[in-house]
This record gives sequence, structure tokens and C-alpha cells, in this order.
Amino acid sequence: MSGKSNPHENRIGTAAVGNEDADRRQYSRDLREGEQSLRLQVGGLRNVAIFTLDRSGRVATWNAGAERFKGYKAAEIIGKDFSCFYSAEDIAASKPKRELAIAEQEGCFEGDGLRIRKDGGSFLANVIITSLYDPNGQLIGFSNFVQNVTERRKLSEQFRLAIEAAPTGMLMMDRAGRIVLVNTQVEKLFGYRRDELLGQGIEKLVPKRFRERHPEFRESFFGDPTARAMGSGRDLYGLHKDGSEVPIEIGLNPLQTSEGDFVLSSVVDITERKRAEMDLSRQSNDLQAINRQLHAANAELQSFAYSVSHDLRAPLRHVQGYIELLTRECLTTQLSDKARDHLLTISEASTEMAQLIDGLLTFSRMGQIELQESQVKLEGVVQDAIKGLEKETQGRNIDWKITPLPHVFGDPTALKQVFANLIGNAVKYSGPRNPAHIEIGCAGDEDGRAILFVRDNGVGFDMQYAHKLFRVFQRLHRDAQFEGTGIGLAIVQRLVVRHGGRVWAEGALNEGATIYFTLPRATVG
Amino acid sequence: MDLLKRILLVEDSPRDTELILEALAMNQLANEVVSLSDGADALDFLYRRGQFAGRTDGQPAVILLDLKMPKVDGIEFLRVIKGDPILKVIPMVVMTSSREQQDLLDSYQLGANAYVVKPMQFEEFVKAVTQVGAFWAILNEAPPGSVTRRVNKAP
Repeated sequence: MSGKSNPHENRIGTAAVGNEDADRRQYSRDLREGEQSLRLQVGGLRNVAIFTLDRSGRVATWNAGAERFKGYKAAEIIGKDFSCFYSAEDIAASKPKRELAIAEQEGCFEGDGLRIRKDGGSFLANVIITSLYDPNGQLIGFSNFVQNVTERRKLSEQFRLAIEAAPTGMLMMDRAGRIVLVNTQVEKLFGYRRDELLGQGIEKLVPKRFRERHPEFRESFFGDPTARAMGSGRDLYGLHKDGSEVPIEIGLNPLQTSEGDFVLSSVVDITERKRAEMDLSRQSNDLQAINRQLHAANAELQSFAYSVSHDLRAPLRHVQGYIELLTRECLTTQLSDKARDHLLTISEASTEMAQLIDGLLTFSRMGQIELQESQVKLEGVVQDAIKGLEKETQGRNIDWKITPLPHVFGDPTALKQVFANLIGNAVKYSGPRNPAHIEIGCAGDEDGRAILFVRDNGVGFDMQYAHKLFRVFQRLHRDAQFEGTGIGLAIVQRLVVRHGGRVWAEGALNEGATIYFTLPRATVG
Repeated sequence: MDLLKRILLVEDSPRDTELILEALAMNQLANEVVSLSDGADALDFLYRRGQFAGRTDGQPAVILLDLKMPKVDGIEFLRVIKGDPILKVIPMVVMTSSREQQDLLDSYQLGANAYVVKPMQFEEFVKAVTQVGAFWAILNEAPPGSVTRRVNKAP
């Protein structure tokens, strides 16, 4: 006797063959022992719920896993209808009956569903219900194999949510390059709906000129599947549905799952970044061009100033030389006082011209010299400048007031020149004063730069003409009063401006003058 | 008794030439000055060629050399003479109005013995010329082969 053949046969009992009662008994015994040991093993399993139902769905056997998952002890559940494991909605929808029916018709039902525990709690179960037949092919019941897949489903959900929520495009493809997962960003980026992409080859999103080689890249990635950026050094583009190309950056991550090898790639639209890069590079080019022009202009100015001063010097020297010779010649002959005066005037005038030429040359050099950038202790610079004015301060009664000065960023030599000029002016224009008061200090900040000043109680100037002070060769005092070429302040301004600061002056006639200028503070280390 | 050595003055400006000669004259140093207005002529002089082909006397004891000259300028002249194994021994004093670093560097690198910037003030100018003349033309021992002439020192 053999059982009726069924597609998914699961025999607990089999027919004994032949006429041997003894054989049959032995066979039965063996079977029972096997069955018992299996039952023990199955019964003891705690990670899987395995239980059987009779043909009407009442619980027949119950293992430890079932007790653990569903909370019922064997004694209290055996005999009860298994629909109590389903939710009210499922019962109302006749889900239990339907699943059994499928198991009977097809031999097996597999599916995920919500299951209710004794305590009312629920969990997501993956269930395999198999129909059981006796040797005659009659349905005797069902075996249930239940796994708690709540965690797995949660993780899977989380994975999907993470992919969906990612701020970059996320695309998953299998080894053959078929797209199996996309997120909204990918849809936006490429202009496709996900149903237009899922199942399609990834090359659909690759611009035509790169399509041929792309499968090669895919294979080489799987040959060495490590997380990395794609195509470093190359510009990558994606093909939009409308045919346009999108500059992108692609990150590749291998995913080895039980279902095979996949690649999870992140795709970032870098159109904005590329545009910013181009803007930046264009700006940089512009700046470089301007810089070159400035350098050229400066060099031209310098060479102009040099040749002017150089070529002007020779005739001047001659004038002075011949005046001397003339004077010496005239020692022996009678020369009127007026004549002598005239000679003296010519001589002085040519000396002045020489000084102007020197001043002009120095001024033009101020624009060309490379400024060293370093932290400068201004107190030291001021002392050096004062020391350099020994000749001018000799015999003078000067009351110096130097208040604490900040550290600044700048060229020490240039800054010494600035102070030398300003302090020199203060000394000069306070000549008539006894004592002269010269004050050097810091008066706060402007735009993050320190405001420094040099103040004197000298003859001052009319504020009306303050704007003329810093011009080249501009003087507000007649030659007779104070010697000078009027280039000192122009040089000061040029140097301060080169340090990024500005200069201005305040004063009143006969009430002294204050020259203010700003320099960048150095962060004291 | 001093041995007065010949000075070769290579200067293109007639005014500067006159001023230098006047200054030298103030110190009784002007008598043995050969003055040429161009580096090319000066080369001909030293090499005894061209217009100086028949020259038989010795070489100058010192050359006062201007830098900015039309045909062969001072730097070129320095390069040729200081590059010549025989003529390089002649001391050369660059006398120029240029204070430029590059000129200084070039001159010294080519072997100039001194570099004097022509002062703006005539008094200073005379002093400089006097010092230069007195040292090179009188105190300094001239290289062998230079022309000399005994003179009586002024009383």
C-alpha cells in the first residue's frame, strides 16, 4: 500500500509493506523511535515555532518555540482553534481559513502576517503551513513553521526609509546592472518615475558616449568590491530623461546579501558645485590678469621714475658744477653783490631740484618693493625711528609721550619709514615750541584695524586744506618757514595703503596736528 | 718727488669731462690725463689700433670710466678689458651718476676696482675726484708697463 501521491507530501506515518507482521511491527517501532527523537528535537527548539493542527485547524502539537513566540503553554492551547493567533481583522477577513485552504490545495502556504500572542501583544511572523496526509492520502492536518520576522522587517523598513530619506540619489543594482532600488532623489535627478527605472539596465542613465565601457567598469568593480568613489579624476555625467547631461559624483558601495551581490551607489548632482568652481576659476583668472596689469603698470612707473630722475640728474649736476666754477672764476674779478646773490639762488634752486628728484624716485619705489609680512612690535619701530632722528632732535627740548602700542602685521622696514616720516614732521613743525610735545599712541580700532597716531603741538595747519596734505610735493607751508619737499606724507600714505589701512589728519592753525593711520592688528600668539 | 702716472678718462659728456679736468687741475693732477669720449675709442687706444695704431708709450696707470656711453658703454668696456689677460691689470674706477644696484653689481662682478658716484654738489665732486686722483695717480703702485713722469712737487 502506498499513499496517494501529493505534491508536498509529508508523512508522519507510512504503510508497512509486505505480509510480515513482525517486519511491520519493527518498522513501526523504528518509526516511533525516530518520530520521538525528532519530536524531542523539534519540541526543544526555541527559535522556531513548530506546531501542528488537525484538519479543522485545532492545535495538535506544540513546541517550545511556539510557547515562546505565542505565550501559550502546550496544555492550554492544544485543542484550541488556531485562528486565535490571528488579529481580529484577519479573522473577520477569514484569513486563517484561507491560508489553510491554500495549504490544502497547493500543499503549502508561505506568507508574512501579524500574529497575536496570549498577552495580546503582536509580532510579525513568517509562516509556512504544510498540509499533512495519512498513508491513504487523506488530509490529517497541517504543520506550521513560524519565524518571528519583526526585527528583520524593521531593519528592512529602516533600510528602505534610510534610502528614501537620503539627501543624495541612492540607487541599487544587481551584478547584471539591473536597477532594483531607487529613491526620490534619483527620480528628481534623472527625471524618471521609479517604475520607469526598476528592472531597467543602469546604462539607461549613462550618456551614450560612456555606455559602451560602462559594463566593463561594473565588472571591474565586482572584481574588487570596495566602497569607493567612482572614476576619481574623471568628470562623470548622468543622462536625464530629457536627453540633457547632469554632472554627478558617484559613490559605490558593495552589498553582499543572501540574494546575491549588489551595488548601492550614491549619486550627487554637482551642477551647482561645478558652476561655482567655474565662477571661482574665472574670478581667479580675472584677478590674475588684473594683478599682472598692476605689476606691469608698477614696473613701468618705476622705470619711468628711474630714467626721469637719472636723466634729470646729470644736467643738474652740471649746473651746480659750473656755478661753482663760475663762482671761483669770479673770485678774482669784481662781482656785484646782486650777481653773487643770483649765483647763490641758482645754486639753491638746483639743489632743491635734486631733492625733488630724489623724493620722486623714493616715492615711486614705495609701490614696487616687496613688503614682508610679519608680526611687528611697534614700540621697537618707534624707538628706532626716534633714534634715526638724532640729528634733528639734538639741542631740542622735546617731551615724548609714547603710550602702549599694539602688535601689528606688516613690513618692519616700511613701518619704520612711516614712523620716521611722521615723527620727523612732528619734530620739524614743532620747531618753534619749547618744549615740544610729541605724542605717539593707539586710539582704538576701525574695521578690525588698530588706529595709531602721531600728535604734535606745533604750528598745525588749516583743516580746510587737510585733503591736500598727502599729495606728492604738496606743502601747506612756504619754503622759508620749513624745509621740505612735501613728499613725506605722500610716502606715508602709500605705505599705509599698501598695508590695507588708511591715513587722515586733524589739526588747527597754531594748535598742532595729529596724523592718524590704521594698520592690521596681529593676533598675539 | 712724485711719480705722476697717466690717467685715462673715458667720459662721453663734454661737460663732465670739463668738470673732472677742472677738479683734477685744482690738485695739479690734470697734466697726464688722456680724455676720450667713447668706449670704442678707449679700446682702440689700449689696443693701439685704429687712430691709435702708432702709439708706442705705455698703458695708463688708472682708467676713470663712465658707464653710460653711446657706442661701447662702460659695462661692455669693463668686460672686454678685464677679460683680457694682459690689460686686466689696469685699475679701473667707475665714475658714474648711477647709484643703481644693478650697475654696482655688474661693475664689481666684471672686476672694477672702485665705484664712485659723481656727487651732485660740486664741492663734494671735487673732493671725490681729488681723492681718486691722489690715490690712483700718486699713492698707488701702478702695474708694470705704465707710463710715468717725474714731477716736482709744488713748493
